[in-house]
Amino acid sequence: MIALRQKNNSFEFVVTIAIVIAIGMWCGPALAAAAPGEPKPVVPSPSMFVVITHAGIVYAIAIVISVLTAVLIKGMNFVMAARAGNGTE
Amino acid sequence: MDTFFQIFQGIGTFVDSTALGMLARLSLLLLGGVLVYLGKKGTLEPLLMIPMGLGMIAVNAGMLYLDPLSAERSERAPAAIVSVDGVVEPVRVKGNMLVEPLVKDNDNLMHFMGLDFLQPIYTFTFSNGLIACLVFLGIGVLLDVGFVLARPFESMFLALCAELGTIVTFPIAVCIFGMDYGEAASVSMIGGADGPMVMFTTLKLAPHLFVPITVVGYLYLGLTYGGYPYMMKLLVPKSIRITKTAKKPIRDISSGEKLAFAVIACGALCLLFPMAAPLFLSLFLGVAVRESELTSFVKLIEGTILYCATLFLGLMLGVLCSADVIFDPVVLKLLVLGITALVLSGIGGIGGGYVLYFIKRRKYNPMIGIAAVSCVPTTAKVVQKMVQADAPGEIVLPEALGASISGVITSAILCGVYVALVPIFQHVVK
Repeated sequence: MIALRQKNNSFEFVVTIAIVIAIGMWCGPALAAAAPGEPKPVVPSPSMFVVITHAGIVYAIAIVISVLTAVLIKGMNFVMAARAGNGTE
Repeated sequence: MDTFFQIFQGIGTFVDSTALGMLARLSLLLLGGVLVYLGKKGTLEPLLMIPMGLGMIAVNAGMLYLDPLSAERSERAPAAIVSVDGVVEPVRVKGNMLVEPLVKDNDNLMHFMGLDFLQPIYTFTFSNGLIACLVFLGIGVLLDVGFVLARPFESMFLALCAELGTIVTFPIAVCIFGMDYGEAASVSMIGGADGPMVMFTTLKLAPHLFVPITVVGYLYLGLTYGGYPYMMKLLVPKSIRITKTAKKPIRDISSGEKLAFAVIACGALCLLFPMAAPLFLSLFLGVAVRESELTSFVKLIEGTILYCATLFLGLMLGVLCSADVIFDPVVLKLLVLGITALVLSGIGGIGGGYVLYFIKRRKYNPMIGIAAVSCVPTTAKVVQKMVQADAPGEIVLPEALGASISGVITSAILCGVYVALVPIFQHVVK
């Protein structure tokens, strides 16, 4: 919800990117510095197929619910239009 | 000299740091200043950036050595070390008097609650997602769902397309960046371009990354205004940008219809995703208050509550940006994944716009699609501005707002799906 104000786009874009790059440039060395000393827990990563399937399931459920929401709205539109006696969109 | 550093502990802790630590604090002090400056200039949203920048400055400047009792209760460092001659000496643990976000133990939490002035705000509004819900309540009051009710299928279709980043970033984060499912889902939500949703998902699925993901998320939301116009120019040739969108007569949507929609949608979504019920309730309560014309509540929510939540959101995000918390190597991954999510969502939105452009026989401006990347009403205003620049007099704001508000709803749905399914997926994968 927080957004840049409607002033010149290029400046805002450059400033935001500059801040991001500055943080990124810092994190790079931090990453390198942290790498040798810190033991990283080995977590078995699921296969790409499984992960993509899981993402697909998430999207499929979101699609079904969104479509049902749209159907609900359309149904309400028809009911209200019928009651008011005029047409829908 | 030791006495000097004991008296002025902000300087003492600075000198007592490694070169990397000093650089981190200095950079964050400067970044805080830059945020305040850009907020004052109006380049970045001042309501958020001024408290955030000042908080960032205060937390990184005001570092001190905690007293022995607090040091012992601080969960970020060992309580004691053994010195060379065998005598156990307490470690001088660095901290601040603002907030201690890493404390989990109840006794320790109560100790810091009486010590750090922002600890109660963090514990009672941040760590349980209340602040996200309050902001969402405010968003609900500002939303006119009539724009969605007027074009439900079109708006929802665009919103689903514009969730491309929220979906595609998830496998990228897991398979390429080695994140776990909770972390991947949280950072993917940046593609929905809604701060409260990013916060809520992160609190539920990856609370240890709450600060960096939220900070990166809010920083990137600025790109929707700064960067999306470039994306529109890149992906939509001028000959198509000037397309005039066919207007059909739309009947007036009564406040009763909008209220009925809010009630049914809230009930149904809470029934399906109880884990995300706080978000749905907050959003639709806002809508219901607006449509019930409860003017006293509307004034309270859109004025006092929303501004109060925004003030403390900014302030908390700032004070949580202490050098040791924000400069974590994982932030680099979040920076890459956050921009990936937002770019993909923008591409998805424009892709959806193109589909409607062809379905409606070239009488639909595909740029409207990018408005579905939520971030209401910013993206809708961006689209209107861009369309007006190429086709003066053309008004697409109603269509864009419909898509944008649908984006909020689909983002909330995806948040609910992720929060409900990720623990199950994690269990299956193990």
